[in-house]
Amino acid sequence: MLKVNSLSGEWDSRVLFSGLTFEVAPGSALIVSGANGAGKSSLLKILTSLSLPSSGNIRWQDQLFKAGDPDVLSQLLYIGHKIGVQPALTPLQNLEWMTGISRKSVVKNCRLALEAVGLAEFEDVRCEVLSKGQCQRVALARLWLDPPICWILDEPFTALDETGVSLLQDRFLTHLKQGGILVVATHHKIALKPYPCQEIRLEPVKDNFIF
Amino acid sequence: MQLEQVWRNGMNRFLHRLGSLQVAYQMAGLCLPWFSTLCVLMMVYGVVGGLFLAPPDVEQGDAFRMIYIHVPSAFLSLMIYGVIFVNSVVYLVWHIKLADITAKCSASVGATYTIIALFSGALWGKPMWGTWWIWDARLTSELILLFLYMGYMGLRNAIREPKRAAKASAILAVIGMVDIPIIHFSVEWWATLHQGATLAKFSKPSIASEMLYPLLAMLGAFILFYVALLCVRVRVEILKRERKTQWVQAGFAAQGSGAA
Amino acid sequence: MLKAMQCVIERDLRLYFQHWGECLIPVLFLILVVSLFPMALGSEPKLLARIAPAVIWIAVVLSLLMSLESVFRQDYQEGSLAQIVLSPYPLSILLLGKLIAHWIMVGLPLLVLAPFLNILLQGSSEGLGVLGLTLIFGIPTLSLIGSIGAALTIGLPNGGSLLAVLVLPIMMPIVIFGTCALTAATEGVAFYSELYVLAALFILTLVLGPVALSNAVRASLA
Repeated sequence: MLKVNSLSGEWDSRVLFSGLTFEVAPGSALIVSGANGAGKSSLLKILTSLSLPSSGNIRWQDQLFKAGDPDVLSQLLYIGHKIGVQPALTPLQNLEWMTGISRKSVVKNCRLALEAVGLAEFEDVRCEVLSKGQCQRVALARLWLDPPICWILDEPFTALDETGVSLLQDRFLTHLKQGGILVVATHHKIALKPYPCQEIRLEPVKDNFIF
Repeated sequence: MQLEQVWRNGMNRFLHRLGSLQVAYQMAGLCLPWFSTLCVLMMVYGVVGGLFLAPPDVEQGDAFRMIYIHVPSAFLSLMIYGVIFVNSVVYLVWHIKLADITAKCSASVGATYTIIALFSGALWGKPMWGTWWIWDARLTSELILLFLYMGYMGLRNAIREPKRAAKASAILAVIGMVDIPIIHFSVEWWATLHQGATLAKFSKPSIASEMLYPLLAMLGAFILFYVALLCVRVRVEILKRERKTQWVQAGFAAQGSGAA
Repeated sequence: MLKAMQCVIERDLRLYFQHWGECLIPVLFLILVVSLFPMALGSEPKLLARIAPAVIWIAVVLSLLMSLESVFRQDYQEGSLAQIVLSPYPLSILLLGKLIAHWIMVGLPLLVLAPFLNILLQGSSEGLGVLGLTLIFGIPTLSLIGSIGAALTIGLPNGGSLLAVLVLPIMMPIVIFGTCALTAATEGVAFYSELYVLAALFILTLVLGPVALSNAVRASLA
């Protein structure tokens, strides 16, 4: 259960949003939308404790979420705008590393995950020769690897083709069915019925000052 | 009950964030004239007493009068780094914006004092040792302190995003402060190893009261100058950071209409 | 926890191996800088022997600085650094793993090569052993301090030179003690006190460094 209490975020001395309060219960999703530069990525980074909010707090299971708290971090999965895929390594090596630093990984599972995202033939090819959409699939393969309960994803549909988009959407539905929490920043229209889905739309705050 | 608690905490924090900078601005404005006047008075006494009234030293003649500039500025260069360190710790632990503002505004003042200490040390050295510069323990430590200040200011300037700049320079200030005793110890070691007994250190002899009081007055004057300068700079920085808030805009509007 | 650190070390070593040519650059830089001095000062053996400890230490510091600039850069650009910060394992341990990988690929070659450069500079043979000893403590300490500077300056435009400006004053005590130990050794005087201080500084940095490093990385990612 993710609870957010009057959160406000700043970037570069500009207020991006203030007074945000919401709750995301298990089995429900939160969609963050807004124009470019409205602060979606910043909001997601604050939710993962990578950034600190300028005021407000985040509660996870009714406990205050402090940056670096391992109990909460082990239940979070974050795929940001920069997907964290090293071009010089193969998809398999990338996946093994990502699961190795978050939990124990088994090579067999990584192969299965890559197969699930349609990259079975590209397991041992360096990511620098893969297309952007394929690299995105490598990053998203973590979602098939017995992932934690709360997913925070920033523009996960970037560069994906139609099969990729439907694959990801099906995975979202399975996740919500299993009682997971989903927070997604995206422009895409995702169909997540019948699971409860909130939407937050961030508008860029207009500067209005007199000098 | 819990809701009321939450609301009260939120309001406290909101007021703390917003109110303290405005209050600091007003308080700094109130105290500034007092600090400046006192500073001028002490400096007049210090300069007159030190340069004219105090008798010339037995060993060094009139050259010792550089002490009235060198010692206060060296003391202050270290004191200001201490102030930056304390403010950095406060900022890192409690995220109080005023601490970050104070540290930022103190940095260049401290660097300037360090440069004054180095120059006055060199000027003092010319009649004493015959050269403009010498690598003795104290001057070398001052030089390294100057490098620490330059690094701090360089880091602040290089990072564009204000929050990251504040945090990164706070961490650097803490590391620098932890390192200062180590640097001092290592420079002392190095100086004794390489120079041996050829150079008489500036020992602290018992100092006559006619020389001491102007020195203390100059020390006080330098400290007050720093505080007064800090008040001015902090006020400007607060205005810069809070320029979009209600109270600043109201203040500008009032000033604008007053001038018109 | 150790398995996670091992995972980080393996991946970083793998990345370094793929560009092993780049790992040779600090070593080449070391040799070049050390060779500059006889070319600038003339080949008189006594003079060279006297400056040998200082020159080698300074060249090691500069080579380390050059290589440390890019320790976090790739991971920051790809977003992997954010994943490391979000790991449930302690951040200090994972970052220490990165540093160990860097030390194996860059520090170790420097450590092995530097004493032989003593010969280039007509240094004494006692100096060789002591140089190795001082560098065993010195290089990890310098890498840790330098990596904190690198963490503070990730992604900045003038990162490399700013890193040097930030970090050199903090490295000065270590250079002082390293060279004092060597000078003492070449004069035949006991050098153990300097060596003990170097070891103490190493332990102090090992204890405090990872904490500062993780704070610096978090600050840069915020």
